[in-house]
Amino acid sequence: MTPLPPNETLGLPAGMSVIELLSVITGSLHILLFSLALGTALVIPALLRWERRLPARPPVGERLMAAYPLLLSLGIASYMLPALFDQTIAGNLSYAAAVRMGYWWLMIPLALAAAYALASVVRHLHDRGLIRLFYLLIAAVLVMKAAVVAVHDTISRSPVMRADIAGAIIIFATMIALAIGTAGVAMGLAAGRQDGAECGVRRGMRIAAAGASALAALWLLEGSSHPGTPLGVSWVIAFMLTLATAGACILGILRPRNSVWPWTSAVALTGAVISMRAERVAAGLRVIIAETAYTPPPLRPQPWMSAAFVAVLAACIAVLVWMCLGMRSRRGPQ
Amino acid sequence: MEYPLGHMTALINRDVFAALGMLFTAVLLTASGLAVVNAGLLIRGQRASSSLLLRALRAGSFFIVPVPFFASLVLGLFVWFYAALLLPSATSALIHQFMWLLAMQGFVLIVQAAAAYAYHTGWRVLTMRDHARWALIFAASSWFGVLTISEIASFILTPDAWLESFRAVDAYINPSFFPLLIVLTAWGVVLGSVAFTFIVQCLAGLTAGEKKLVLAKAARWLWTLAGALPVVILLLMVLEDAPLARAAERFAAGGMGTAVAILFIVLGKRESGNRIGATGAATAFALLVASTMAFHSGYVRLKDPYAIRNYIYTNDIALDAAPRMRREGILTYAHTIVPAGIDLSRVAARRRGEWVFRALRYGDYLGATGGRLRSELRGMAFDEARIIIEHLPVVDSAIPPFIGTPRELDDLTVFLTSPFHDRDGV
Repeated sequence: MTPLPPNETLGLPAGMSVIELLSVITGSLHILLFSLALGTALVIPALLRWERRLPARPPVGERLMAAYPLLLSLGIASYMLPALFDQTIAGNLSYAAAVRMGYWWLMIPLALAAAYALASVVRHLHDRGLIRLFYLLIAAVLVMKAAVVAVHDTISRSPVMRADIAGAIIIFATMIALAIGTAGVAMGLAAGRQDGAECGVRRGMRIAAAGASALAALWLLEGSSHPGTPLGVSWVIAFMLTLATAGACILGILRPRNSVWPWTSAVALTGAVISMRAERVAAGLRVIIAETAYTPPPLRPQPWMSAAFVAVLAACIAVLVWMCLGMRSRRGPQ
Repeated sequence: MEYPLGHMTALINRDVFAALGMLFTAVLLTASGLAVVNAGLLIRGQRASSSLLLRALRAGSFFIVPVPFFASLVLGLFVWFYAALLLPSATSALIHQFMWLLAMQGFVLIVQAAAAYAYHTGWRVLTMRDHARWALIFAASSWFGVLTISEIASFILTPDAWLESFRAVDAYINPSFFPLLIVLTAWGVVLGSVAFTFIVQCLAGLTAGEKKLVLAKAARWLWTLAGALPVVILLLMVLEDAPLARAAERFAAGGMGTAVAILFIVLGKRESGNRIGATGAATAFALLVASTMAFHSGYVRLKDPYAIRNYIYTNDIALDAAPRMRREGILTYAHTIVPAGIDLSRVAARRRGEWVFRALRYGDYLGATGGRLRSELRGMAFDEARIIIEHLPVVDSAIPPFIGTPRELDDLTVFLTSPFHDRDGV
């Protein structure tokens, strides 16, 4: 692969760096939401078994189950944005992304239907074994998605555009570790909102610490397994933030009453994901541009549409904030 | 490029794409219409304190809100995936042209997913006002999908002034945008009304008498919405001076709207099961006829070669190639030849004319259309491949004839049959 001259914008035309930034932000959002969905589906069966043994514990599992359809829906809906921005940057060469989207999208309706059906009937279901089975089914679908993404990530990053099975296994393991870490952090945060929930916080932080430690090791392995590819500053930041996440989780285990540590681990993990996404966007573009000498079509300035985009984005954020804050204060049955 | 399941060229073709596109449009319109109908009926039920109507909406909530939403979401993204494989240059070009609109749609989708969840699970925990607000947010975000699809489809059909100016405003405000938006919105409401009727009929938690009562309560409101469609369509026909083929399609759509209106009137006035069944069958038949005509019309448009209104999707050519093609005479401005007696708007058609592809040259085959041929001709004998390229319009009617020099033809044949060139955009 011919190394590119150092260029912050990777040789993209002026204006495209904004799209690159949007791709990083929305891609990170999707990765976090989907990791949360996958990790929660993996964690819930174990959590239900634990809560059944110790019925006095706060019902974190049921809380997560109630919110699960929303989580999965957001994870899926958020995929459109990074796909859009990636295709804008990479143009008609982003076949790998398109194929990936098609393969795993066929599996998603199954997971969604199961999640919504469960959320609707879970109060009437007394068979915890059946609920666990459903969640394992959802997890299986999402794990398949992770496998497809891992294989196609190696294709889109490879100079010869071929799947690298060893690399795919590492990426796949990375995604599973991230999912478990994210779910553990979310569980710690959810448990920390209740009184006397030290046990829940400790358990969540343990899961998150295991996930974050594995993630750091896998990212190190992934980075060192491509000696020809120089590691960027973003990669180093991501690695350090992952280690910081693991550290915050360990402090959370030791001091479960202090709510600072679950929040610290959440912020650090989010930063790590954003930083790694930035590295991957840059690395993917570097391969595409070096390999094909591809020049994306110029993005003509559209000031009115850009302004409309900002307005719609502000409205969307306002609605979501209203959902999070307003509903809580005006809760009451019809 | 190697994929684990190999190349899928056998599955990627225009017929499947056209059918998928039409199916997605129908599902999207039904979902958005159901969202609008649901929000209206919820507010009506709350204001009238109709516990029966609210109970029916609650019982059918899963099939009214989350299921149609996710069906349209999954299908929409699948169509995008399919288009990116079949027509990569065109899809890339459209994404560049409408990136901000699609980005807005992406964020609206997130809100829509949140609204679907909040509405569906909010029956027990939300106040009436908050619940109605979520229903309205869901309806508005669903309609935004109709707006997006109207914008892109209308641009593909009538880029008109944009071909001269290349200004974004001409792409967004193209001649068929507002008519298409209005017609699709009206169609959505009609399809949503029909879907709502069938969902209520299938609800398990209500008795037969209660179902009739619910439909009777909903009938007047739905009638107002569904009955507006023929009026909208007739108005648009007058404004647009449409040709007969489109007029027939729209009359059929109007007929369907009328049939739906009659259905709701009958359901509202009578409570006879036989009448409900008979009117339902008549509505289904009208829906079938209208849908077939509309689907056929859309299918032909998506497959129609040469005419510039479809050039992006039939020839898979990047938008930026248009000026060069005009310069080289490949893309020419011509008057449409319309047989007398069929066109109701001959004056308008003569004035407007159409951009037409006359032929494609060597470079275009390499850069755009040739991408599709490469997988078919790779490894083939030189002479055989040369004959195929010489007679391309016979082999595939969607491909314009090749008009390069004999030397260019030889070079092109060597390139397309070479086993070493397996990447697009070379």
